Amino acid sequence: MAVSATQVPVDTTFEAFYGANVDRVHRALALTIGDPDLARDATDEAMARAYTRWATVGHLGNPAGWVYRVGLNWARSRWRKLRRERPMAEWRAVPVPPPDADAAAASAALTTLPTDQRAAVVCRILLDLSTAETAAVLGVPEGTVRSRLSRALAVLRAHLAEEQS
Amino acid sequence: MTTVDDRVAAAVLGAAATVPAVVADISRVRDRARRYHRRRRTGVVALVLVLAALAATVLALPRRGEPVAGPVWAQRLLLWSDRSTISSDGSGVGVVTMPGVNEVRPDRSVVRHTAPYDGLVSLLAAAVTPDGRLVVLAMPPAELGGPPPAVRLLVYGPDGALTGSRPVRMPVPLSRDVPLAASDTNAYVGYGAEVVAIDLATGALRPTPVPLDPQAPNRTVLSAAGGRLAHTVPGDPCLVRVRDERSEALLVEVRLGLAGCTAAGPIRLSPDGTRLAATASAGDRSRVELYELAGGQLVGSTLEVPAHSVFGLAWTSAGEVVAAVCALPAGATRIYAAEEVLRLPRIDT
Repeated sequence: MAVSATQVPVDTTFEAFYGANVDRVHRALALTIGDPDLARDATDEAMARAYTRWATVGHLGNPAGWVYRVGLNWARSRWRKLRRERPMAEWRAVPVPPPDADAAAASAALTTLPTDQRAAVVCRILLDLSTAETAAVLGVPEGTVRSRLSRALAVLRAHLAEEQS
Repeated sequence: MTTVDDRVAAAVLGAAATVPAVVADISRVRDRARRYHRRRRTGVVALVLVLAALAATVLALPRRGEPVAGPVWAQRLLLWSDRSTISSDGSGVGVVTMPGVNEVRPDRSVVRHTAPYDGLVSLLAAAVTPDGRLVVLAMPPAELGGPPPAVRLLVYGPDGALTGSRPVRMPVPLSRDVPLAASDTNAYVGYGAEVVAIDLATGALRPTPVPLDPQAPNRTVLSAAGGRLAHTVPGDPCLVRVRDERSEALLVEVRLGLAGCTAAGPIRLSPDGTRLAATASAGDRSRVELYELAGGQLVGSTLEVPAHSVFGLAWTSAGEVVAAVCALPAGATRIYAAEEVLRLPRIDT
């Protein structure tokens, strides 16, 4: 019996990528850098850069990871600049109240993590990247990703356990 | 692999859900991409400008020991075409001047004057007058079966414009690289057994008391400036005599000081005719020496270079001498154009 495979056309245009990933990348960046406004700016900037070189970025294994990394780097440099120009109280974002206890605990715990560990958590959980992909996106060895993730998850579990008790 | 348990994952996803949603607007991205493009283009242009400025600065830097900035050259500096040296051992190594009148500029560039003898078969010699005119002796093509053509004396102003062109009737054909010097009024040409003076205004010839070596007439070296004519002496190539241009009386004799000297040239009188820069060669070295003609004494410093590598001399307004030195680089295995290996060291007085 012959089996015919049905080919589903994949929309590889930037517009399709943007529509499917902009919110996810924005949330990932917002969780990582802790500032939704800066995250939105970083997402726009990274998406703009992806748009200008889509011929290359579109063929990467994980374009969303690339955009996240560009946005994170851009936000970090922007962050440093803002910190020099404005006192911390002015630029720090006001956290939005979380909808449930676990999310609140995770949100609180995430803010206590170093940015590198937060980025590892966000890449693995939110962007659903493997350790190797996370390592590629963050530009660090896989071992470093594993240790960062391990430490971060331990802190998150502890916070969740504390919340439960 | 590090395992993420479901509860932690759900909590992180829940925390992400607390982030205010972003309004997807691709036009915003396109606008930003245009700005990004402009920034990059501006950055690239700025980088190119900076690199160009750096390159210009580096190129403008003088080579070590040869400062470009300095006194204005008081004389135009031509490269002797007969200085071309190609080893006779078949190794194909040497330095040659390109066809034409090769003039060195203070910025080390070499300007090749080829227009003066367009349509003429052969450039015989070139010299510059103290007032900056270029005097060229050239031979037009001979007609088949006809008499030898007259040599042509061409005079070009400092701006390159032709100011005089006249035939010079010489019964004996001139050879290439004949001795030639030019004052403001006369061209001095080694011809036959002596040096003759050609009036630049009229083309009239008159003999001078400067003899030529009949065996090697082209070895005589001449220079004219400041109302004086300097020349080497047949049979005593390292003796330079200086005469009054008008009376032709001998004013001073200068014996070049390099021990074992076997050849002289090039030589150059200072613009006022009071000092002489002379190149003496012995064995494998040449030395540029400066003399005060009033006492015939060696003055200032000297410059030692490989034999026959001095292609020209010129005085500056500060009384220094610039030497055009074209020496083969170490390990040379080919023929170099003079400008490839040109250096312009200065000799202080």
